[in-house]
Amino acid sequence: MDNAPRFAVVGHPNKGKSSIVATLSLDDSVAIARTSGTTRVSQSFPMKVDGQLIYELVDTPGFQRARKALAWLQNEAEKVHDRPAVVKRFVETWKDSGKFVDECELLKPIIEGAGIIYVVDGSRPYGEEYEAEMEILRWTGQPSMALINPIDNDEYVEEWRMALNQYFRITRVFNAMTVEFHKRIDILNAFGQLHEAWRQPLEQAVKSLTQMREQQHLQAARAIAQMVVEMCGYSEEKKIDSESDPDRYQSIMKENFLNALRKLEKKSRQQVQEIYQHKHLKSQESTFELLSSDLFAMKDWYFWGLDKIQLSAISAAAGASAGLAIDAVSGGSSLLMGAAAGGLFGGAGVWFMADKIAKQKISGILPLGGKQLTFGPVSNRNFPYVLLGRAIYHQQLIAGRPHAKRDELMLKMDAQSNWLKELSSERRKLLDKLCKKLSNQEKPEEVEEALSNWIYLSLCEAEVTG
Amino acid sequence: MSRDSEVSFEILHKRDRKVALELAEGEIKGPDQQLDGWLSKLITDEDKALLAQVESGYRLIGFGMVVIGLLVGWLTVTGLFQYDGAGRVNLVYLLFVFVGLQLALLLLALVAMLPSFVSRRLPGFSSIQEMLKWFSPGRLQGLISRFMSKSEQSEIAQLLGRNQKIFAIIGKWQIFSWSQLFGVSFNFAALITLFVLIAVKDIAFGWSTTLDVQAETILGLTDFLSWPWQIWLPSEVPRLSLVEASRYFRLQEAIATGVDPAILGQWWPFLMLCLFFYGLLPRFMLLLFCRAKLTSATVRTVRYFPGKEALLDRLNRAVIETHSNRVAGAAQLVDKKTEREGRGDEVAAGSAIILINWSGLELSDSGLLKTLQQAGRFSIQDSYQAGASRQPKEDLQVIEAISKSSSTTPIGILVKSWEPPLGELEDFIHDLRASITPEQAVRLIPISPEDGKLAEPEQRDIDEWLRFTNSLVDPWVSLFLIAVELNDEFDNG
Repeated sequence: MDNAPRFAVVGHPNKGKSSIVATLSLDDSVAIARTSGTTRVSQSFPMKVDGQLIYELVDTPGFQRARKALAWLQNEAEKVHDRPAVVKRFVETWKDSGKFVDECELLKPIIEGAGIIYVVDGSRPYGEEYEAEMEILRWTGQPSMALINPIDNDEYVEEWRMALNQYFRITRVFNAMTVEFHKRIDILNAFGQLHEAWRQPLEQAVKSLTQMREQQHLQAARAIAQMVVEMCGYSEEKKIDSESDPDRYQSIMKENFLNALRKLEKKSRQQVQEIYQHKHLKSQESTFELLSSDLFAMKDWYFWGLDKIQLSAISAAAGASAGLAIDAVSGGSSLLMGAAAGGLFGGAGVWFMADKIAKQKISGILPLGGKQLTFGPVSNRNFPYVLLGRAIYHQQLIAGRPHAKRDELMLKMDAQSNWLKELSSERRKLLDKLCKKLSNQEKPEEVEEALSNWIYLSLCEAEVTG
Repeated sequence: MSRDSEVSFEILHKRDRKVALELAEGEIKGPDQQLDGWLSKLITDEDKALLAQVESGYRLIGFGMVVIGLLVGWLTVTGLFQYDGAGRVNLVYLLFVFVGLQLALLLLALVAMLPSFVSRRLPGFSSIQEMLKWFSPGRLQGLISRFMSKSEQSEIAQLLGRNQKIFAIIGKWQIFSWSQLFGVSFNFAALITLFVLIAVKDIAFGWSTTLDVQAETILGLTDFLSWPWQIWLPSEVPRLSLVEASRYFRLQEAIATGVDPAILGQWWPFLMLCLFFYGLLPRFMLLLFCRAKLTSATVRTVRYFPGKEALLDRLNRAVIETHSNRVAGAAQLVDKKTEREGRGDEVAAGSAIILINWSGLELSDSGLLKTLQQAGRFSIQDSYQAGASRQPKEDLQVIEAISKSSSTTPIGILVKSWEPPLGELEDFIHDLRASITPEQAVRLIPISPEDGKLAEPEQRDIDEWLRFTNSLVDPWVSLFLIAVELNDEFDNG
């Protein structure tokens, strides 16, 4: 697209310009620091659809010598209509001088036609020292809007709004650290309102980003469904000779089995993070401690799975025998609830759990001699629910996480405890049906597709309801 | 597709979308057309060569199965008909092999073909299936594949599901198909061999058993076996007279019983029909069934091949990029680590300072000035306004005024603790230091007023100011932090 709109994100140093750019450009590689002057050179973030430029965000350094620059401008401009040209002359005059380095860098895209996105911190009071930079921006004559970024709190938002309204036609509050997807979209629409010629490209950008979001949900749903199906069907097999004692291999097979499942879950987590463009989150693996807590930790089963009554209900509904229902209950959460109450968490629990959720099988004598040992697949009815609950919660945290965020990803243990109860009865029935098939290893390809659709709908609903 | 599993979504999307856009230029848009087009664009010569190897490997195995089947069929019938012209060929034995054994093997093949969700529910069937796998003639493919090149072997091994789960179901029906191909070849060879032997030899058939079996019982059996052709070929259903005439005992010579030897040869059409209806035909039907299952498994695999929907999405959804073109971090960023953390320098109680209010805060009206002096334990000798909303020339006037006084009284520059130090403050300090006596100390005093009182500045703000003063590399410029608790004491007092 020729003359695609550009927007220069400008302002005082250390007021969250880079955070806003990171969030709007979905780029978690943008350097963000609480120290001022992190950005020294303008950096462009073009939005392209199939290689075609739609709009461009430019992260700029903050003003350092606004009063002096304004004084120079005031000295040079004789008439009001000269002002944009004087600003241009300012950049040309000082760009290679070593003085006004930051001002030249930030004004350059603006004199080239970029719209102005002026960023202030709504958690700190307004000050007169901002007036010089706002005045310079006004002198450029370019369409502009102000974003109040309440970095720590919104204590001074109204004070700022009143001050900014005198300089900018549009003023919005935009918290780069907590903003939801639809608010990011709203801001882009607001950018489009700055200039008639920019409206259409920004509408296209909004449409494309909305489609991209749907695509991300779809990909995430597929990745999760694939993981659940793979993990529910996974078994560890080993052929041993007839004389060998199967018990000798039990320990190593169990360990391999558990490790393989953990690996599959971790791989899926990384896929979901990559889908939502949180590529650098993996470097903060330790912050994932809670979410990557052991799949077989009892607290997780207690937390994400079905409770005793629910398990009995689905077993009965599925026409299972009483024996199966009791087995499911005793192997599942009734045990876990007791264990949870007793505080029996930790390493020992993993081993305890593994025995309960997956059975070891020894297939008879093979034609060429020897025995086949099989560990798994997990037979517990709760297993798919636990996997799904954990995976969807992780997806929610990732999908809702602005790319400016660099802090730890925290799991609130009570946040999703009712995830199954919150489902409509129709969706719940479908899930039960799919989980039953998963437990029985029936038609995994078809289950994966159906489960993927089920998850996709859940993710879309969650996006709408927030 | 398997190669793609290790590649990121982003890279795959860009690659596949590019292909789709190229295809769209050629008016190729439907999903099937797109998939074909995608495959033809991305398939490498190496892939094509491997596919050709796999195909030729499969043909070789199929051919091998036919050859082995024909050979075994010929050997079996030739062995059964070892006849020197003097004795008789025992029909009971032939029926056992041609019908009984064939039907038993057919039954086992059907058991082996049972879907796992059925066999799981039948006690012991899974184990039987597992065992039968070892006896399937399809396993001869392992022997045949020794005649293939190493690369063909490994490709086929993959396709048969040893390494790839998705081909497991195809592999299963491929093995069964080969088994049935063997069966059909075996029966075909048996039938032809039987016909040739009958044509070139004069074979006398008879039946004999140690068990106490009457001719009527054998007739019942032959009637039962003749059921498939009794309507349209009634003449080939053995009659009681033939059965009775054919009975012989081990110690009795055929000719000695006075039976016409020509009658004893009348069994051959019955035998050939048995071989056709209970050997060749069911095996052929089963071959067709296995081929159909193989085709449907292949179609199903294509229908459900992992990533097909994802691929179509990548082909049909635009690539949206929002990232910076530059490598993250790199040259444009400055690592601004805290070089020194602390609380700044102390000022001796009761000393005087020249105060420059750079903060733009109103001091006198709000009572902050008094609080500041009390909490800072200093007295203000002179006070100036600079920075904030004032003109730069006013800053210079302040510097000029201070330099004229030729005082050595320390200068305190009051700044807002929460606002980052800017270049213009740096310029101001630089100009100020150049104008005053070199030993005249300049102290930056960051404050954080709140409702007329001084609040504790945040540590991260103090760190920022410390970095700034350190970066000036001037021993006479330092940070002065007011002890906020004194502020409270004065307030209470």
